[in-house]
Order: sequence, then structure tokens, then C-alpha cells
Amino acid sequence: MITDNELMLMVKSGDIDRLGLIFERHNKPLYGYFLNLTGKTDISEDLVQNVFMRILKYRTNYRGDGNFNIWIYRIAHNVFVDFIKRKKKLEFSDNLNEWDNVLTDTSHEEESSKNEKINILESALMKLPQKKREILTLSRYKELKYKEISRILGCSESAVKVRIFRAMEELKNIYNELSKN
Amino acid sequence: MDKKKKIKLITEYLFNNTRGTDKRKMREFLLEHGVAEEELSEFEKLARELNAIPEREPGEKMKINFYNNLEEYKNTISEREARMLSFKNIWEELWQPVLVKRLAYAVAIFVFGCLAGYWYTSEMKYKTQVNTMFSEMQDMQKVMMLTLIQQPSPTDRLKAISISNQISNADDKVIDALLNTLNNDPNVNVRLMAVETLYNFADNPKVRIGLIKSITKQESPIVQVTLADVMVLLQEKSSVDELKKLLERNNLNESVESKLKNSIELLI
Amino acid sequence: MKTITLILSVVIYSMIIPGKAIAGDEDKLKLSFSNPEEPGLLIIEMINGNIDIQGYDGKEVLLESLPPKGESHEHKIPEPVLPDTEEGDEEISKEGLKKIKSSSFEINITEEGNKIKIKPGLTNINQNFNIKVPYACSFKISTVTGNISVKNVKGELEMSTVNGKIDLDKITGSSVASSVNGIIKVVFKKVTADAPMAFSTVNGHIDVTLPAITKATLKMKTDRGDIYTDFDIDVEEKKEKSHKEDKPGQTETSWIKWTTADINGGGPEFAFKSLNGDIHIRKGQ
Repeated sequence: MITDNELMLMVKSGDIDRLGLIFERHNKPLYGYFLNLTGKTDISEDLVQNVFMRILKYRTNYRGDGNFNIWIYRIAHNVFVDFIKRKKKLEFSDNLNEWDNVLTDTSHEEESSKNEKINILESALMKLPQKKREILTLSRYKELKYKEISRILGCSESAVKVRIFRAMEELKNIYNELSKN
Repeated sequence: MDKKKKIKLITEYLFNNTRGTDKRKMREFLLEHGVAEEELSEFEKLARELNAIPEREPGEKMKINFYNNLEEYKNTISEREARMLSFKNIWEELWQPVLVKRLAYAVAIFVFGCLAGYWYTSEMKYKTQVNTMFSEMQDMQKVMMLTLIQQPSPTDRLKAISISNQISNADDKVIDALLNTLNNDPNVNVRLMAVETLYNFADNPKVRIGLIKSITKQESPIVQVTLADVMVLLQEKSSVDELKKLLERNNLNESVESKLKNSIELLI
Repeated sequence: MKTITLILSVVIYSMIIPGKAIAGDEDKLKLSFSNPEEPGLLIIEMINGNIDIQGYDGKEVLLESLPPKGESHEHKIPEPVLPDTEEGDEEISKEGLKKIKSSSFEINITEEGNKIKIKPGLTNINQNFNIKVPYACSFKISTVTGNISVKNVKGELEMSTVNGKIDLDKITGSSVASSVNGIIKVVFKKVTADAPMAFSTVNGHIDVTLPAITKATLKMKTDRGDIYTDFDIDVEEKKEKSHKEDKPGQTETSWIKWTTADINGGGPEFAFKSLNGDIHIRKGQ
């Protein structure tokens, strides 16, 4: 199988259509990443597009010697950070928590109570501060190694571990709080 | 064990992220080193539940938008390239159908010349030249295909489609030309043969999407029917919506209608 | 570039004299290609009218318009005058006059780059054409319900109809033809080497006669029809069943891709495709 790195090098050399295969391989996890961060399906879809457009824009800078997952999630992370900045500038809302419950409200109403736990957990996730939510998402998706996460977020590996722990602690508290109601 | 180290170990334990770590041993170690069992179990449960959250699938629209954006991008860079390479037009002029045959001879003679040149040049030089020639010969078919497919005569366009069946590594220019023909060629038979040929390239996700998107663009009953056939052959379930949309048209040919219904049945 | 737009007014009014045949000399239009030494292309876009084309020994295209389908050359018995007719003045019959649908007849003809394009105006969609063309001439003809008949020409013939019949006889060259409900019948005198061809219908039969020595790769497919040929061929049928198992009780559906066969060692692809029609491929002389 052609590796992502090889594909990306082809894209770099002008074989733009190879990006299609990269898209096929990564669009779903990326979508999941953004959906966990924003809670909005349409925004998540747009952000996935932004990631791929950014890949095209910077394709000539691609060196092909690193870990492709780190590279693409770094782009995704930057796309998200830019999105938040823009959002704040426009003063739409700087409170991400306003977006919550989208998942639980719409897509899941019809499902039975056995999914209630998941619903509560998703609501709890949405109530987490953005940075904590992101790190949990990254650790959950794509089975990224801590080392890779540290490179994506630009911090040390031990900081990643501590942050994940703190995020888990907070999630646990919110979750327990929500479960009571 | 300091708190920070404990935290790190717990996290590693929870997501089992480090390779080759024996989970059970780690748990024992943590419990021995003052981590409360209750706390650990609670974390474990939470981690399990986190992993159990189903992944949501993006809508089909996202894929379609992506490929549209990709097309757009390609157009913008090809425009840029066109501006940069003005001689490209002259190059294309050379590929008028009448000249294609003559040029084929020319390339053949050129290759022969290169082989003869072997005796006069160093081996290194020879190798690069032959390699270049070889890829040029391969590109030749593509260039011929891309030229013929734009000719006003339907016979020429059918020729182009025949050639593309022989191209082993059809690149995206070839695929794009075929998809464009499928959607825009004025001749029904040319579109029909484009479907049949694209079917051969259906491993390419772009081709699949192109074929699905084309379903509702077709006015010709025979092309509609052929696309439905191809969807069944490919078991392309995501085409069902498009087939249903087509079925809703009120000017639909009766034979096409029964065929579409049959195809949808075979897909769902 | 040479462009002529002709509006033939009152052409049909020339028939008001009782007894005079409608297809008089006045109807014959002489059209010339800008470069008569080279084979030209004749483009016709029709809706209902029939087109009858014959090759002849000349340099010009002779266009003759005939009355709409179902109306004879002889004058009709006048219909009773209905003063309150809602159809308008045109529908009012007059003693001694031939009843016609429109008072004038419009046809757009353009010539550009050795291509003549003929397109009747909207008021004359039922007009039929009888055309004589130089032997060497290519065609691009489309109709909706009109029949197309072409005889004795040499060139590339691109034909398409919805309900009309396509009948090509004594053809030298190649053809790409499609119809939805009509039949396609082609008899080749000689085929162009290396020219691929394609014929398709939904409900009509396809009947093509090729010279016995034709080198070609035949690709044939019909869902509910049969395929017949008297060419000596090894049939290699590619059957592909849908990946999905047929449900019990459901009629068995086998999805045949193409029946492929080489004649005389193989050559350019000739594709024949129908949904309900039969395919006949005959060996000519």
C-alpha cells in the first residue's frame, strides 16, 4: 500500500489528485476531531475542507520525512485555533459551551435509554474547556501516541500526560454531576 | 512516588498508550504506590466509556465539496501554469489529429536516433535519454487521448475513449477528460462508452463519485440505464439517493423506470 | 465566414393555384459549401419532419421541402368553413385553396467552415426534407420523431433520434447512431479502417450489415433482446453477476457486461447496445 507520505510527496510534485486518497483515509477521523471540538456538524465539515485546502496551499513545504499523522493533525489543530480566533473577532460567541448539546439534542433523540450514558458523556465532554477537550479527543482518536500529541500541540510529552490526567479528572467530575440530574 | 509521576503513570495506564506495557502489572504497581483502587476504577470506567462513544460519519456532501474544491484548485493552478508556459499552446497545436500520426513516426524515429546515439554517448547519458523517451512514449497515448477527446467528430472522441482503455496508468487528466465527456459530450454514444470505460477505473474513488454525481445529469435513457447497471455492478449503495431522484422525474422513459426500480432493489 | 439566413416566405403560398404540386421547383434550394472540393458536413436539427438524403454526382446540396407528414401532394377536399374557429385565421379553409398550417415557412440555413447547418423555424416543425448531397459528405442529424434515411454517401454519419427510425443504406465510411424507440438499420458498402463506431437504442432493434472483410472488435450488449450474427466469431461473453445474492422469489437477474468478439482478426471497436431491442450484425458482400 502506498503510504500517506508517498502520496503527499506525489501531491507535492503536482499530482494533485492523489490528495483524493489522502482525503479518503483521513476525512472521518478529522471530522470526528472537529465534531468533538465544535459540536457542530456543518462547521466540522467546513473545517475538514479547510484542512485539505491548507494542505494544498502548503504542499510545496512538505518534506515527507516525518510522521504524516503529526503533520495532518498539526494542520487540523491550527485550522481549529484560527477558527476560534476568527470566531472571537467576529464576536459571535467566545463561549464554546453555547454550542453544546448539538450532538445530544438532535442526532440522538430517537435512540433509547441505553445510549443515555453516552449522551451524558458527550454533554460532559462539551462542557470541558476547549484545550482539555482537544487533548482528550486527540488521545482517543487515531490512537495517537503521547509523543505525537506533544508534537501536534507543541508541548512536552510529560505535559501531555499531565493535561490528559487533569482533563480526565474534570470530565469525571462533570460527568458525575450530570449523572445526578 | 511524586504526584506528577503518578499522574503520568495513571494516564499511560488508562489509555494503554505505551507499547508493550503489561496492563495488569501496571495496575498492581499503581495500587502499591498509593493510588486508591476506587479512583483508578472510576477512571478506567470513564476511559472505557469514552472509547465507546461511536464515531460520527460526515455527510456525503463533505466528500462532494472536497472533490469540487480540488477541481477548482487544479483549475487555478493550471491557469497559472498556462500563463507561465506560453509555449504549451504551441505544443498543443502540434497535436492536431492530422499531425498525430506523423508525430508518432517522428517519436519513433527519435527513439531510434537515441538508440543510435548510444554508441556515441556515455552509458549514463544513454540511460537517462532512454528513460525520458520511454516515459514520453507512454505520455504519447495520453496526449493523443486528451487531444482526440476534444475533436468535433464523434468518431475521434470514440477513438479517444478506446485509447484510454489501453492506458495502464490512467492519470487524473485522463480521468477528468472522461468524466467531462460523460457529463457534457453532445453525443449519446460517446457518453455511453465513457461510462463503460470509467467503470474500468472504478477503483479510483474520484471515478466512483463522478459516476454517482452524473446519474441525475443524464437526459439520455440509455445512459441512465447504463449508469444504473454500473452502480449495481459496483454495489455502490451511496448511489441509491441519486437513482431515486432520477426516478422522481416525470418525463422518464418507461423501460428506464422499471430498470431503475430493479437496480435500487438490488442495492438496498 | 459565410452566413446566410434565409427566410422563405410564402413558399407554400405558391401552391395556391389549384392543381399545382407542392414540390415545385421553387422549393428546391441550392446550397453550396464554402470549399466544395473538400467533403463538407451537413448539420440538420429537426423535430418532427422526416429527412431523406441521397448522394448524387454534384457539388451542391439540393434542399427540397415537402409538406408535413400525412398530407398528400394533391389538394385536399376543403373542410367546411368554421367562422368561430378558435384556431385563428390560418385554420380557416378557403374554397380552392390548399389547407396549410402556416402562411409562411421559415428555415435557418448557415454556412461556416464547410459546414452547412439547417434548422427549420418553430412554425415548421412538421416540414419534411428531401435532400441531395455530393457523394462525399458527412452528417450530423438529429430529430425527435422524424425518420432519417440516408443513401449512397461517403463520410462520417452521426445520427440521433428519439422516436424516429434511422435507415442508412449503401454507406461508405463510419457511423455513430442512437435512437430511443426507433430502429437503427445500417448497410455499409465499405467501412473506414480504424474508425470506431457505436449504435445504441432503448427499445428499437439494431440491424447493421458490414462488409464480409471488415476488421473489427464487436462489443454487444442487450438486456432483454437477442443478438444474432452470421459472422464467424468466437464469442467471449463476460457475465458479471451483481455481488449481491438474489433474494428468494425475486426474478433472477444476470448482469451481462459485454459480449465481445473479433471479426477478421479484430480492429476498432464497434459497440452495439440496447435495453429491449435485438441486435443483428450481418455479413454483407
